[in-house]
Parts: sequence; structure tokens; C-alpha cells
Amino acid sequence: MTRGEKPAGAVRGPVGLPDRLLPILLAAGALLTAVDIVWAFTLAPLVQGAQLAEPVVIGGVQVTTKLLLSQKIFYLHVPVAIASFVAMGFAAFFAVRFLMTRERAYDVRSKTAMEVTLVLIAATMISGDLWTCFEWGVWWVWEPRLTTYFILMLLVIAYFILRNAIDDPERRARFCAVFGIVAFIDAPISFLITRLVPSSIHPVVFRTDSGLPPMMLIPFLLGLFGMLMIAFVLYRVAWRVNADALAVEELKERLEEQDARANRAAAEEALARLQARGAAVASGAAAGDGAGGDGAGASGVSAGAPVVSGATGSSEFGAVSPGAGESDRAYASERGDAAAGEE
Amino acid sequence: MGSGGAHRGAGERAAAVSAAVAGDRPLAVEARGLVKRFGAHRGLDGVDLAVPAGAFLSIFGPNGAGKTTLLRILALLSRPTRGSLSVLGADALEEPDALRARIGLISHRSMLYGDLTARENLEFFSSLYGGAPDRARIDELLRVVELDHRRTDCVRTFSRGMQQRLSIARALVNDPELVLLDEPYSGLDPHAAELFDQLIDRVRDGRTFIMVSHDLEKGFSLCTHALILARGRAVVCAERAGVDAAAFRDLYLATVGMGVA
Amino acid sequence: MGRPVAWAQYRALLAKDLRQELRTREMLTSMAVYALLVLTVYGAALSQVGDRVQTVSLAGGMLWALIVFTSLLGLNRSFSHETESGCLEGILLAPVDRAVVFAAKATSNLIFLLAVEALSVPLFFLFFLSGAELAATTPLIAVPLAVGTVGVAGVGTLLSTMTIDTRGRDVLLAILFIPVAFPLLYACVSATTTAFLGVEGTLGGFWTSCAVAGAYDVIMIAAAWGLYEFILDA
Repeated sequence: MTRGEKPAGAVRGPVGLPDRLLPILLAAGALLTAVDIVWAFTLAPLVQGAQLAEPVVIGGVQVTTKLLLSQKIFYLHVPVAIASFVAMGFAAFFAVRFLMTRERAYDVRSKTAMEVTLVLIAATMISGDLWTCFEWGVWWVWEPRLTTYFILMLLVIAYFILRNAIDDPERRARFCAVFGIVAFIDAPISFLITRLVPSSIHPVVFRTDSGLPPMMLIPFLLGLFGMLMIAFVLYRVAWRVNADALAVEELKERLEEQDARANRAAAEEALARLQARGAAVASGAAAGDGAGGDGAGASGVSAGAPVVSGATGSSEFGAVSPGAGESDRAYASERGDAAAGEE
Repeated sequence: MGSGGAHRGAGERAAAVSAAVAGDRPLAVEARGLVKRFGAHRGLDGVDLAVPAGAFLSIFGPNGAGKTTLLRILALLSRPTRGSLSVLGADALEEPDALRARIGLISHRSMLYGDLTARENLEFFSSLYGGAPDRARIDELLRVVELDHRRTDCVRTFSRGMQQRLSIARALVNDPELVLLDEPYSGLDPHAAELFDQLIDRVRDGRTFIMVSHDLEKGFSLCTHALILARGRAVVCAERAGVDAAAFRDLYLATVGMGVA
Repeated sequence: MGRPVAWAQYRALLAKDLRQELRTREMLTSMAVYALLVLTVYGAALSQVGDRVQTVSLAGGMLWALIVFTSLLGLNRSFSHETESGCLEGILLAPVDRAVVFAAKATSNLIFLLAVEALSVPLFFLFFLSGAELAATTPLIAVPLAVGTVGVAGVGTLLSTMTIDTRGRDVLLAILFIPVAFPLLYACVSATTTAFLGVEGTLGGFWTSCAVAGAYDVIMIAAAWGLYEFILDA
């Protein structure tokens, strides 16, 4: 990493919100969600349970409709479900951006969005399962909603297993971006298909969640916004963790590269000396042709005409970027090829 | 800072120098500032290249230096993150497809289908380059690589040396002006390597070659230009004629010593 | 690159795949044997089901499970030749549109899958539906079989290209494939079961399911077509 270049993780978050605001956002989100829940249990009217296309037997009991307390879960469950889908949408969006620009930063964001999706989907599954249990008395039904969430969860898990299976970072980023997009396309298809395909056994369950009266709509919307805020905070925190982890990994890589040589600056110096020698070797016909594009050509052609700018070279740990290294190289070329064979 | 000015000056000097190298011959490959990076990791860190038509460039360097990365970019199998690349006079980044038909690659992997015959393999690759396979040319190629007598045998039955020879035919099926070689000698015994060299010599006319190799002796003896890469940057690039072999050898050994751990 | 050349390249790629397979018959035999083994497991699974009627209502699902399992095996093998000697790179060197590579590979996969189905479906009938009372609409299962196999080939080709050269590649393909193909599977099972049962008035539902499966095919294959180049090129 050259001096002045930010590590991949330092790119700003999508909304550019400074980290200081995150706790506030979290508190606001939690507050809204809490209001939603409390309102749901106190002020919102009890509502008919799901309307069924025809009477059906579930768990040995004939069910048509029921006045339900358990329907209250709806106020929490659906916002979480929507938030998880939104998160997956962002993951797909970042994946598309990655494929367009091949910037590693987008891969980090896409992965982070998927992590948030995983958390939210798990919450959706649990709340959805609880709802089914309270309402129908069985722990699992292959009805459209639950099935779709389950598939979505499998898709996200598959994403992470794919991530784990590929070692090369560039290939991993590319393949996961493609799969993320495929998964995002597959999710709504899954939802629609489970609704449209007539099932001889399982009823298509229509729930009364469209056209809500205000007493129900307001807490629902509050809960939705609250949940989205919480999701966003989760995303930013996770992204910060991931971006920093990536920066650490990249630093580690460079340190490992340098561990092979005891002294970091000596490596740059040795490279510089080699380039100078290279220039000397090639000086018969062509000097410095193609000898690097970052100003190293200066040393190639100027071998024997050093530009000293006062750096002490060997002990300077900061001699990482070519900018500083140039002075190293010039200094090194001044010292000639002495011990260039020592490696 | 003075470094800025020196950098610009260096660029101009490098350009002037490469023009001097090329003389008035057209350049088969011209690359400026090739960078291939992902995140902060740089496979190539600013490489300039100027290869005249008809030359044979050997690329040396330790593992992780970026040799294969560079070759793959030249073969148009991957795109650089930054930099410009002009191959055979055309901008390689704008219209890669048109150029692909004029480039061939011989790798240490044979790129041949084991269950098809030698001739079927060549016909297949020929048809990828456009339309009906040129049977006459294929038969001619098989004769050139001395595999005419085995043309109806499945490639699976070939020895490694024979597969590598057939690979030469495969790479030449589209009559490329630029031929790239990626460690072609790996796995070849000395006799097979000798045969390989003879064949390369036979088809050398009118083509530019760029080879990546760990074999210093071979690579240096075959080439007209030599390039050493280390850690994504060029250490030296020169015409062989003007270089002392022993000095080059020392430089190469020193560079190899600083391979990426 | 002009149309005629793309077509010639497509034909060449397809011919190469077919020729290789006919010479070695590797993929076809292993898929056929695998189908037989799955049917054997079914034998054990259904051994306690005495009621023929029940078997018929399960038949749609079991048939498609069989197809999914054998397809996964075939898809895994389809790239084995390409990766063996680096041949895929040889193809990518040439001025071939990456979408053509996808089309050719998906077509050859489709042909192999259909070939194995031509064997395993009659066997399924033999083992489990002999003597069962099948509705007159049973021959209609050809429709979901065709539509479903096309979808499996398309999505499977995209995903199996991703799993080349990865750790645990066989399991990985299954992990990626099954969630993505689930909607297709669901629709096809519904259509197939409806055809087997042949209940009065359910034919509308049959065609709905087929249409939905067809829509899945169109959308996912279009997506695969567009995304394929990102997998092949660095």
C-alpha cells in the first residue's frame, strides 16, 4: 500500500454517516420497535386470523379462522422479514457494483450486507415459526411464507459456504457476487411460485396484511422503520468490523512478505540496488527500458548521477512507498553494487 | 517535491529509451504502467514493456513476481487494473476479441482433450477461431510438429513430450503473430525439450515470442530480449546482445533470492 | 463477431462435448448407475407402502427427487474434461463470446440429462407403478419433465462452472443448486403429481404450474446468460 492510499476498508459507508451517530440511530430504532410492540398489544384491535381458501385440517384440527392474540407477532415478524429482504437487496446491489468496478471495497460491503441478512432471516424464521406454532399448533408447515424464508436462509448459508470454499480473494469476490445476484433474483421467484402453484394439499394462506386500518398501520410502519434502522446500524457495525479485518489481513500479508527478510528497508534497498545493477547490465544497448513505472526509471537512467535527498535509508521503517523509496534507491545506487549478492 | 519532477522526467526518458530499443521496428507489444491489484495486494505494480516485432522476449523472476499475471494479461485472459496495453498495433483493452485471433498461448498444461484424436483437437480449436476448420493447414501443422503419424490417435495415449508438441500445433492453428509461452519446459525430459526447441525454431519466422521460464540457460539462449520481474516490478529489461551473460546470471540469482516468501 | 461464426463455434463446442461423451460414456454410465441406485433406495423407502394409490400420489415427488440427484452428479462431471488439462483456458483464448460457451455447455448438459431421464423414468414406472391405476393424463408428465430439465441444465451449468477447482466441489454444487432450483422443483412436482393423479378439473392447475416453471426458466437462464462471463473472465 503506498503512502497516502487508504486501505480498502477506509472507504466511507454508503450513506457516509459518521460512526458517532450510530448509537443514536440504534436507540431510535429500538425505541420505535418498542413502541410498535407495545401499541400492538395494547391499542391495536384483535384481528381475525388468516383467511383460508377452504377449510383445512392441520394438526388433526379443522381450522377456518380464529380471533388471535398470536397475530400480534405480525407486528414484529413482517418488519423483520421486509428488513431481511432489503438487506439482501443491498447485498445484490453491492455485488453488481463490484462486478462493474472490481473494487474490493464493494465485495466487503456485499458480504457484510449478507451477514446482516442472515441475522435478520434467522429472526424472521424464528418469529414466523412461533407464529405458526401459536396459530396452527404445529411447528412447521410448508406454506408459502415459511417455505420462502427457509429457502432464503438456505441461499444465504450457501453464499457463506461458497465464500469459504474459494481461496483466491479475487475469484472468491467475483463468484460470490454472481451468486448473491442469483440468490436475490431467486428469492421473489420462490415467494411467487409457492403462492401461484396450486397445491392439492396445502392451502394458499391469505393473511390480512393489506389495507390495514390506521390503528394497525401506524405501529406496523413504526416497527418497520425501527427495524430498518436497527438493520442499518447492524450493517455499519459489521462493515466496520469487516473492513478493519481486511485491512489487518492486508497488513499481515505485507508483514509476512517482509518477514522473509529481517529488515523491511533492506528489502527496498536490495530491490533498488538490483535495479541499478540491472541498468548497469543493460547499459550496453538499452538502459532502464521497462524498469518499473513508479519513478524507478529515474534510478535506472540516473545510475551514477544520484539524487540525494537526505534520507537515511536503512533504518527508516517508513520507507514503504516509492515516493520515499526513491530517495532510498538513489542513495543505494550511490553506494554501488556492493553486497548485492547477499540474499 | 523534487520526486514529482524526477518521476515525469523518468517517464519521458523511459519512453525515449524504449524507442531506442525498438529502433524503427514496429512494436508487437507496448505496455505502460500495467498494474494488477486487488484491494491492497499488487500482482503487478507498474510494468512498462516494449517488445519489437519478431523478437523473442524471455521473462524471468522468482515466484510471486507477477510473471504469470503479466503473461495472462498479454494473452488477454485477464484485464489489468490500470495501465495501457497495445498489442500488434491495436488497443488490447478496447477490442480484445479482434486481437485474440492473432495471439497463441503454449502453457505447461497441454490444453488438449484426451479423448479426442490429435486431428480432432486441432479441428476443434481451429473452428473456434472462425468457421470451417482448415484441414490442409492442420495436416501441415501436424507434419511440422512431427506428429503426422499419430494424427488419428487419442491424445490420451501421447507422452508428455508429444502432448507438448501437439500443443505447439494447437497454438499455431490460427497462425498467430504473437506466441506466448508459459513455462513450456516443465515436465519435459531433455530430449523432449530439445525437440521442442527445434520446433519453436522452425516456426519462429515472422512471429514474436514471449516466454516465461524458470530455466535461465534455455530462456537466455533462445531470447533476443530479457526481462526480470520481481515483486510486480521490472528489475531489468534489455536486449540480450548488449548484456554480459555472467552478469545477467548473477543478477538473476540475486533476484530469485528475494522471492516472495 | 458475426452471427454465423458464433453459430459455428456453438456447434463445434457442442460437437466436442458429445463426441467426448460418446467415446468414453463416462458421464452417462455413472449417471445411469446412480439412478439405479437411487431407485433401489426408493425400493426400501416404499417397501412398507402397500397402498398403490398412495404411491401414485408420491410418485411425482419421488421422480423429481431422482432427477435432481442424478442431475447433480452429471453436472459435476460435465467440466471434468475442461479442467483436466486446462482446456477451458484454450477455449477462452479464442475469440469466442462467453455467452456462446454457456449456451453450448448448457445444451450438452441438457442432452445428457434428457438421455438419462429417458432411461430412469421408464425404470421408475417399472419398479413402482406397475399395476397402479394411472390416470389418462399421465403422458402429460412429458411437459414438466422437459421444462424442468431445461431449467436444471441452465442453472446447473452456471453453478457448476463456479464450483470448478473449489474445495469439496460435489457437495458445494448441491448446496448452491438446491435452494436456487427449489421453486422450479416445487412447480414441476406439482404439475407431475397432477398429471399422475388426473383428478377432474385440476388440469388448469397443471398448466399454471407448467407456465410458472417456464417463467422460472426464462428468468434464470437470462440471468445465467448475463452473469456467465463474470465467472469465466478475471
